[in-house]
Amino acid sequence: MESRKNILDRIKQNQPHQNFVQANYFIHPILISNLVEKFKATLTAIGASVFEIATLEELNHFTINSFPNCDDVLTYIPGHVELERKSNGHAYQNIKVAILKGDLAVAENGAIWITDKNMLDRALPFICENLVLVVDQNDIVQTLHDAYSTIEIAEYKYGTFIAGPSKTADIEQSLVLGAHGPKTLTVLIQKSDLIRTDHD
Amino acid sequence: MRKTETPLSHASLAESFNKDEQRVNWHDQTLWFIREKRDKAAWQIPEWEQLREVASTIKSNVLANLHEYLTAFEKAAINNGAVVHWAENAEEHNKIVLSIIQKHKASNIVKSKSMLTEECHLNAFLAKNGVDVVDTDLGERIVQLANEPPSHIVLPCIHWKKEEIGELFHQHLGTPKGNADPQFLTGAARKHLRTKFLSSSVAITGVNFAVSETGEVVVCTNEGNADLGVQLADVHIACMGIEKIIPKRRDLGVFLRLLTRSATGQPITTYSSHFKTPRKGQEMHIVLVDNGRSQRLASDDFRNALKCIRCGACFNTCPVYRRSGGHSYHTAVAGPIGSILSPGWDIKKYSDLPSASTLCGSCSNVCPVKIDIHDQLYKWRQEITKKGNSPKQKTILMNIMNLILSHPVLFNLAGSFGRKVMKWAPSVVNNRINPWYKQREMPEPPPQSFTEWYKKNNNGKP
Ligand code: SF4
Repeated sequence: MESRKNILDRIKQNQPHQNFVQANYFIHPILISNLVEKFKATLTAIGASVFEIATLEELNHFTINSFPNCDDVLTYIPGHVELERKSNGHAYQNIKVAILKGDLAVAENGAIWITDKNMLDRALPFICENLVLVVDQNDIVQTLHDAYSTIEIAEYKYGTFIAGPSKTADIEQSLVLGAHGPKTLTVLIQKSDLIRTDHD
Repeated sequence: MRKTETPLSHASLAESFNKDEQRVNWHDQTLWFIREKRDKAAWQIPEWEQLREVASTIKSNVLANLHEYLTAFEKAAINNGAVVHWAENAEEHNKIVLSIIQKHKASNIVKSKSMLTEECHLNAFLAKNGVDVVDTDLGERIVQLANEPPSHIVLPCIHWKKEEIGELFHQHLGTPKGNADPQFLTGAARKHLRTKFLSSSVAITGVNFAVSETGEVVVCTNEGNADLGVQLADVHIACMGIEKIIPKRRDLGVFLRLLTRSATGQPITTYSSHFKTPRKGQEMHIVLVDNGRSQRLASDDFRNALKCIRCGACFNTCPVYRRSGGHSYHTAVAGPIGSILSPGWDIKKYSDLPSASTLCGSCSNVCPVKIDIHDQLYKWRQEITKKGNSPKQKTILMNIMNLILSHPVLFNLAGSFGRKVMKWAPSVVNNRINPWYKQREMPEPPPQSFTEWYKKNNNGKP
């Protein structure tokens, strides 16, 4: 408590007394003409795979074709495929494929915003071996500024941008996919409105 | 790799780094390659300069209202369910972290990258108190196994060759001798660290940004180690310097666009995670650390160093850093930014660092928050000389230079003498006593001075 007071008193005394008003800025990025194409190109460049799907059946086909003979597949899309949450994140350590729904996607950097309510368990997007994120084509925005104009008024307890599979280049700058999190990221761009969740 | 002789000086440590010329060239080129990736990423954003300007302005506003932003942050964080702690210095920070760990009777914990905990030497403190901390960032784990500090704030083991890492892993993780394949070694580390994630009840993370309005902290990683650690642990301890505050969520749009493009040339890190409310049953602690920051806030000359978002761009571009290596700075944060932060912590111990620069200004040009790094380097030199902390040899030379430069006759004489000596007796300057001759050839002396040339070509007219 004493430290708190000392630090805050010192800051109050030392912070410059020029009246810097809060930055009121408007940044004008160059508009991206084809959002879906740009998003796909960025994702490919950061090591993810992208497909377009139209219906939920296609989602099932995709899973069977891409991960044949794989039992540990888990799909959780609130409003469509619901599941009971297990007791803790450790319970998901053997999940080979997790299919989750992203809230929002950014064309300029390939990042997909996902919050706790779509994760089933907060550990799941990180502990699974392969992650599949479904993104509604209408939820793709140009830049991070656009994304934050939605996020700044959103309610969440925990949210993250995911851009690609987990990676590292710590050994002599050689890029290796699959550091601690998923070894692959697949993004399914949903062309129709079939898999909509309650955030819409 | 770290020399232990006292007093440590950048020049002597750099000299030992420079013994292996091939290795220095490799280090230099690797970092330059990353600098080039940064350029390419920046050039793709036409509004890049505007982003830098806005980022710098947001930070100016934060520093001028830090008291208000911090108290608002604290209130919001408590409201979210976090516990907020305040630490005056490194020692208090370490004690707070230890007490949380002890309260939960944990003895193995995981930690993701945090330069603040490096600044506070947390690992050594916890180890002394019987806590086994595992750094989970691959690069940090490598230097931790080697018992070394990181040599770069973003690329902790940039000075390590893959063969050496292969050998290190062979010794510590039992990988086959002679296997130096990055893919294989990363896989081995993944396996080894996965067991640590699954068995640790406490996870420590650093903080990239703390949003005053919402009380949430944002942590950026490529590996996913911060999230995996926190989401499997019962307790999350987030350690941050008080300058990490930004006003609103929307400001993240500016900073996240700049951070990773400046750092590695990627458009964004793989994970940019916003920790607001802990899970049900999980504890979240936020430790706010001053450690000299509030003092620096008072200085018009040095305040702006607090804007740093730790992207590492100034390291990668610095010709001195690239050719002397991170350990030659003998401080937690190396490179140009470390050279202006460290003298603020201890002006005596780090009096050599502001001189570890050519003042070329490249650092200031790449800095995403527009810190006047090279100006501050220069100002620290003056500060150090004023306080009588500069090396003796330099002081004497400076006095001689002062005498010569302020007397034109002496200046002309000295110039002509110098040219003759270099021509007729080059060994007087081309020797080991002259630090400029190390790793360099001296240039050919010109036959005449500019003044002599001008007089001759202008028929003696002034
Ligand atoms: S001083 Fe600027 S360039 Fe250097 S690490 Fe900090 S933000 Fe990056």
